[in-house]
Amino acid sequence: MSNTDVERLLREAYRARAELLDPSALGPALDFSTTPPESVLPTTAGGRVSHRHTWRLSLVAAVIALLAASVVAVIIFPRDRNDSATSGTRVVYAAPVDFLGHPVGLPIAATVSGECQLSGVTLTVEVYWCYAEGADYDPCWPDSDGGLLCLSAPWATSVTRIVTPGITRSGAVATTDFDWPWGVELTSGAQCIGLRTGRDSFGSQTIEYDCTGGPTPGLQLLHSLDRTTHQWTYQTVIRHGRDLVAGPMVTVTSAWFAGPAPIKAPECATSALTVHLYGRGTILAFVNNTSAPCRLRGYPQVAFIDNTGHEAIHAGHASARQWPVLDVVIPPGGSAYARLQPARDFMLRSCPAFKSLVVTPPGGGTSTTLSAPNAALCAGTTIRPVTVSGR
Amino acid sequence: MDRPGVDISALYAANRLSLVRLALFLVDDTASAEDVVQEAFLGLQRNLSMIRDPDAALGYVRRSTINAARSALRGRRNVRSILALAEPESAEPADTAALLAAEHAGVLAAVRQLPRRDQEVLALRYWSELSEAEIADALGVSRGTVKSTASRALAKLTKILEAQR
Repeated sequence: MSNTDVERLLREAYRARAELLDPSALGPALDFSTTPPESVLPTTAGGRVSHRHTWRLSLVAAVIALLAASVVAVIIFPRDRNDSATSGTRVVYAAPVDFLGHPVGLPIAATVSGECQLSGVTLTVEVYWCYAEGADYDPCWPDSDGGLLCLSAPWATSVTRIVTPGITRSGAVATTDFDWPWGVELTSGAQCIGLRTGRDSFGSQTIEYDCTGGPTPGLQLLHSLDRTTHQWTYQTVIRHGRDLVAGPMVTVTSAWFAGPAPIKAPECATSALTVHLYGRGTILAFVNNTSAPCRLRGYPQVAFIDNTGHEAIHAGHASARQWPVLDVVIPPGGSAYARLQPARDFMLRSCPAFKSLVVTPPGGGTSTTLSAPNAALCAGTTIRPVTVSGR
Repeated sequence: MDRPGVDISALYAANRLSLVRLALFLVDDTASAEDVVQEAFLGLQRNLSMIRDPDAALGYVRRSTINAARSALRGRRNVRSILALAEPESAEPADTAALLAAEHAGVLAAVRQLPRRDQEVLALRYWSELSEAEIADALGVSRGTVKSTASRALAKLTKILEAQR
């Protein structure tokens, strides 16, 4: 197969796939012509606005703010490659660093420089996927020395260290009962790792894990984890070249999650927390300024104060289906975060300027007033529950 | 503030669909792809005052689309797992692959086995038909990196496709 053949096939495949997307099935288009109201102008038949507009720059929260967090933890916790055996599926937390970012002692196989972004492997720990020298490394844990340690599989026995600028550990670890295993080991001995990018479908289910090492070549696990009994199961497919056929139900002996393992801690007292606003006024950081870990859960209360000193808007709660409520344990000096989310249609609303935000941590307590001179947040702005990552 | 140089509505009307399709190759469902492009344009509007060169606006939206697609990938897996607790998958119809010729479905499946950066370079080059310089700008890397990534990605892809035969 020549390069030209592959290039031609690629172009054809992209075009064929793109054509399956029916333009008329797209959601409503954004309307950029409504701020301020008096500047609304008619559009031409083709939908292109042909007039010049007067723009008022919206200093509304950035949806993605790639700002570094600010903390380093300072107390010692046990190593976190610990197993908690049960009579059924064994749950294992694998991580190359402990709760404080200290390496747990896995040998470093290679050190490379690369770029890193937050990983989707878990919501419970701040882990990254990195791209270095033509390969993906995912997940990678920030260590206490400013690098990241990556495991190629939950059961890997060595790490790759990535050197990259601008990553600072948040240190928080969360608990949830709906996180997915990063990898699983089956009764057959096969080991399966979660797929990271686009997935194929089989019937109404997506294929989520690739397995190796068992008696069945081409075994893949469907989006079908059943953990209602003590032995977890998956439905499977078997891939023969391009063909997929239904496979047997399989039982999980060990389910591996990206650690460190969740830990228990008392709820954070208001006096234990310092609140900061960053990320162009969109991210609240709750810093644990005591010498012991503490726990936060749920939504901070956020009120926006207008220029006359009146409370103008109270942020509602972002969808818990999309932004789940987690128990977040913050190490000493570490942070938990909550993000303000502009209303999806905020361009269509009037967005008064606010002078400050009054923030009360989840669970109540003393409020902190934060100056937000550039915030123009509209009705419909919501607050997400606290999480482990400020990115 | 008068911004005669950047007609964001025209830019949106002219590029929304092709960018949603680009995003579709980087995430894997239409709803996420639409969200990604919407986010990119809203970002452009917020930052319009910083974009002096009107020609740079499309580049800005392209960069934002790639970044937002990376974030979407990150969030989607867990969102999916939550949705799965209560309701069936709300993503794309499962028969999309069935509507494609086997050869094309095979190519797209092979692309998905590549590292994400490789997938981005291939989509920008063979779907968006961008030059090396434009791809470098969209990804924030050097032209040399684009060139080497593209040729490495093509080689890996060829290997996977040959193994499929």
